[in-house]
Amino acid sequence: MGIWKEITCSKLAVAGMLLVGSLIVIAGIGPFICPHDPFEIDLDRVIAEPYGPKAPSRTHPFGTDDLGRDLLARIIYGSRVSLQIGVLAMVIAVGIGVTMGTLAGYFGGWVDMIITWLMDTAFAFPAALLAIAVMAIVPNPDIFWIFVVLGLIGWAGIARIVRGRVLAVRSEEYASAARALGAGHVRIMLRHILPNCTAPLMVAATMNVAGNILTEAWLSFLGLGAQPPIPSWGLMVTEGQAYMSTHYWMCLYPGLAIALTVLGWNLLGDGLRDALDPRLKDV
Amino acid sequence: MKANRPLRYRVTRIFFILFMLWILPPTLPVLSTSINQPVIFRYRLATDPPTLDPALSTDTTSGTVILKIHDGLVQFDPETLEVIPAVARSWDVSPDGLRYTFYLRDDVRFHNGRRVTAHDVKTSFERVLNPATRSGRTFVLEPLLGSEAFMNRQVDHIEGITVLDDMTVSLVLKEPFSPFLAQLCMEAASIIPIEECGSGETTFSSRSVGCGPFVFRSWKHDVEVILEKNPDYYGNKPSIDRIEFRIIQSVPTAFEEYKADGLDMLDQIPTGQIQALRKTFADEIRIWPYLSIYYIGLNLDRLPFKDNVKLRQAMNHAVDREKMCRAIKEGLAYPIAGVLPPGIPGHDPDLTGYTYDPERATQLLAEAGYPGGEGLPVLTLWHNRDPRHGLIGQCIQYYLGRIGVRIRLKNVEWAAYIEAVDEAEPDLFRMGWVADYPDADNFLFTLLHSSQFGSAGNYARFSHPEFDRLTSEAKRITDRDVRLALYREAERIAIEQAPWIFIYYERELAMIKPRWDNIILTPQGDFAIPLERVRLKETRQ
Amino acid sequence: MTAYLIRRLLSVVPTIFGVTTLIFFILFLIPGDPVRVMLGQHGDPETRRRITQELGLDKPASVQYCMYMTRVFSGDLGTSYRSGEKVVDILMDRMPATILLAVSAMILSVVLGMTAGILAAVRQNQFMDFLIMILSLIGISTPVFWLGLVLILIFASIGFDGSAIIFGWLPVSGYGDPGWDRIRHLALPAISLSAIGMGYIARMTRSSILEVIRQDYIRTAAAKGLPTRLIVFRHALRNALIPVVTVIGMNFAALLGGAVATETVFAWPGIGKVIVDSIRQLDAPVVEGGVMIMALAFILINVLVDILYMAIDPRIRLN
Repeated sequence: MGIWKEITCSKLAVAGMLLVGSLIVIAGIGPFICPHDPFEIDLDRVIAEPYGPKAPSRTHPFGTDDLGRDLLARIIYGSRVSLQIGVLAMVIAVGIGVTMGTLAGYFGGWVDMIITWLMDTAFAFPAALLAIAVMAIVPNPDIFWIFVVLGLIGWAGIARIVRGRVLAVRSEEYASAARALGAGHVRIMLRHILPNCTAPLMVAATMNVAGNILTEAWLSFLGLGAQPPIPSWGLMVTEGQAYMSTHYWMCLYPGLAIALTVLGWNLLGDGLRDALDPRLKDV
Repeated sequence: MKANRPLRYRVTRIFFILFMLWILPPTLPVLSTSINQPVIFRYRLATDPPTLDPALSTDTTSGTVILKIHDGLVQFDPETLEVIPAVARSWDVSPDGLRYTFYLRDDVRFHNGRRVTAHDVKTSFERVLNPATRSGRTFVLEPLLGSEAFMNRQVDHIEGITVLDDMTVSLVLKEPFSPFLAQLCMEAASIIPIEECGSGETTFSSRSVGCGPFVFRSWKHDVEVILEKNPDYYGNKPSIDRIEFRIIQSVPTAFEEYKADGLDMLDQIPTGQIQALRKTFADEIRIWPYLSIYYIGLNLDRLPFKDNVKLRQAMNHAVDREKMCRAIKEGLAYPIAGVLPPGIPGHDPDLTGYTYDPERATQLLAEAGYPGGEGLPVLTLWHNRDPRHGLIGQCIQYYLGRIGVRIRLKNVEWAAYIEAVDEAEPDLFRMGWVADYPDADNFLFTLLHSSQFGSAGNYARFSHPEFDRLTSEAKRITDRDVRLALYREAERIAIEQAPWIFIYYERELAMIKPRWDNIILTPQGDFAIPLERVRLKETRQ
Repeated sequence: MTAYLIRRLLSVVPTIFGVTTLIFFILFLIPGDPVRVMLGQHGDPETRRRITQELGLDKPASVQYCMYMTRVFSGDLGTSYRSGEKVVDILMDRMPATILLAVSAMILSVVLGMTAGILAAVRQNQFMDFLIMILSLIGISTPVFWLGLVLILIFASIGFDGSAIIFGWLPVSGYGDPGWDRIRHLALPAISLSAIGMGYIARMTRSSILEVIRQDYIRTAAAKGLPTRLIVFRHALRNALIPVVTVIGMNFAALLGGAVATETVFAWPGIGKVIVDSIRQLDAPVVEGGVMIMALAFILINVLVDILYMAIDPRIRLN
């Protein structure tokens, strides 16, 4: 496959794929291999001298946290959470974004006006309010609703890209030809227009995954992200920041995990862009 | 080449400036330390004070600043918490406990220079009860005769307040209420110069004028509030010239600021570091008793806790509060046996309360009708957003899980949280309480009397006729020993009935730079530390 | 041109209208009551009822909404439920700090980001390029608040023994006094806030320069024997600027509103923090006012970006 070859040509893209790949592997099998339970609280361990979270050691390579839980186990389990946060929120954002963007670009006129207005509103809408509102209104605010919040934050960016692309494609000849042949709107959109959006969409979606992970960390910092005891990396960094100067590992390792993962997705997105964008070929 | 030179030149210059920015800071001269510089005390506030209006203040951040600017008729002695004179030099109480007569000092002046008279007491109290003021602390003065009629705008004065002459005022109550004097020590009962409230406006929204030891100087929102000493203060004149309240929300940042000598006092320390800091900063860390309790309330309005004492007791036996105190509170909290923390008259140090006994818990759980937790739904423990509450919640979840009671944690914003707790929505909820005034009434009656259901304080909706009788009766009795005996009896009932999972009472903690002297660590908490008494140690120079 | 500007500025009205309406009703939907929050932990129900009535919060949502909108269109943003202060005063008080921080972060990220991007493009596929791209990726991959804490630790932290942990040059937090002191206080928040923009701008500059370089006129210039640097600065940069300006515009809007985490870490008195704090207290007038200003700034910046497009490329016509 051409794209595959393109991607594997770039060192950075390969690095990105390796990072994302290892994240998936860790999320998949890590929890089965890890000897410690990420949820097992051990207050005796906290109380034991020297008091507090325990520094990295042979049994706990990343140390333990303020409830005596193994940090490595929590980071490994957290990779699942991170993957879910990134990907599922992206699916929601892409779902809404593609629908809105396609409708706006395809129909134009007042549909476009309303959707553009919605997009502007979404850009100007404070993310923190969205998070507080969603978490307060739903009866059982578990982690699924974090995905929804992130999706609602991210859709407008995707919609804008899709809309622009659809506007460009709509006037192309094959679309007009399909219309002349009597194809329905839905068919034209799905068959002829959307496939032409896949390249920028794939790039935007990959970048969106990276963005979601960062946004979740930010929301956690404000206390609006995942809820304890879920080992979300954002939550772990936030918990660890109070220990920054004395128990560095509580903040450092989850922070590194976030940075590496986001880096991985961004690199992958870059690689995809380079591979899919014909203008950048044969550099 | 001509075209690219300017750009290149500019880039070089920008790099040069950046380089200078980088390199300059350390070479700047340190502030010269002249002897005549004003003595400044820098105190951290966790948030911008919501208000500086004593009538509107409902939180300790506002209280911290307001207490320095304002004085009331009476105040707490910071050490013993007895009620001592402030603007009133003395007072007497009629034998039936209904009429309080206050004799004012004649040397008290507001910061605007005007003398404080008995008329100001009347206008200040009327202002708190005036519905247009929107005060959330009307309860402080509601014991006054005629307060309802005034608040409902039926009359234009409060019947219970009479100005006898310029320096004497009498307050008449609806019924005997022994904690009344203690309530008059709260910020809401401050004496204020009504003419400073602004024309048409009813509040001090951005400044504050009172008659206390410090004068309001300036307030830069989210940055700092600056007070200067009141040279005409009637009491002991402050030794420090200026207080700078610096607003720093993030605890790690505030801690860094303290280490870098940007703060003289720090009211909060990043969690998990107290033990380490106690060694390094032995002479700066202050720990002292504090009138607070922390508990997990159980919803007695609904199944499964309704009418199931055994289940409630089982939960109390299941939790290792001792270990939680040591692990989460780093030894600054102590397992609580009952409702009253030490320092409150009536606290019984011999109470044992519930010990950690998982076997007994399992047994009680079975007797309660839920052997091994079978038949119990997943219960939801609510807590408001704060890492500390999250930790406690996770421990409770863990311990109850071990006897088979499954807990789901629900973490919500304070606004939604308090509303839900008011409405008895959660199965379990975390709650803390810091005394408004040091009296058992403020714990037992406020938190557990059946007339206090919901937002008035009895969130667990505990209702027990004998308990109600004891705590109501104690309110009216003035004899200390009789009162305390009633409260002890009531507390025993509360423990046996277990409306809460009792967790801990706390110690207050602060870091204060060693150059300061005469810091009175009041059991009211750090917000009430009288800064007018603080002074520099006389060692150097 | 003037007509265009007027039209653009008018387009802010429906957006602001949409945002405020949405916020108004969402704040209604959120369980919780601003009056209850005001009362502190224990709130007497009778007091609560009385205050609710005084604030007019006992009326139905639709009535309140109409009242609010009438006031807004007559130019009155109302007063905070919580402090009784005028919303305009609350926001204007924070505006200078917000603008100062956003503009300095923007300048930092544009200057450093573009320099790095140009450097990377010129040295494409060399070690320098690789290094810059990795650094810029790290810039956009790090949580801002985490970076802020690390910067404090490196540049401001003083250890237990009273000596600097690493450098200890700069103040930890706060706004400082006007002048040099302000600049010293500004340094760390501005740097940490600029990291993301810096990364994006560096990447965008690099790729758009590379794209332009491959076009015919540049190839012609190269074939004529012009030195690479001259080509880059005289021909490529100008054309490469357009996508960069787009990124700058988007990023600046994000800087204005999205600086809450930075403001919290460095105790910087910005507008983002006020909005978030007010959301938590359900202090609707302050939230509404703050978001309105943000939306206005957002549109204004977009207009500015459009004008910049024209200045860069005279072929672009606004319509």
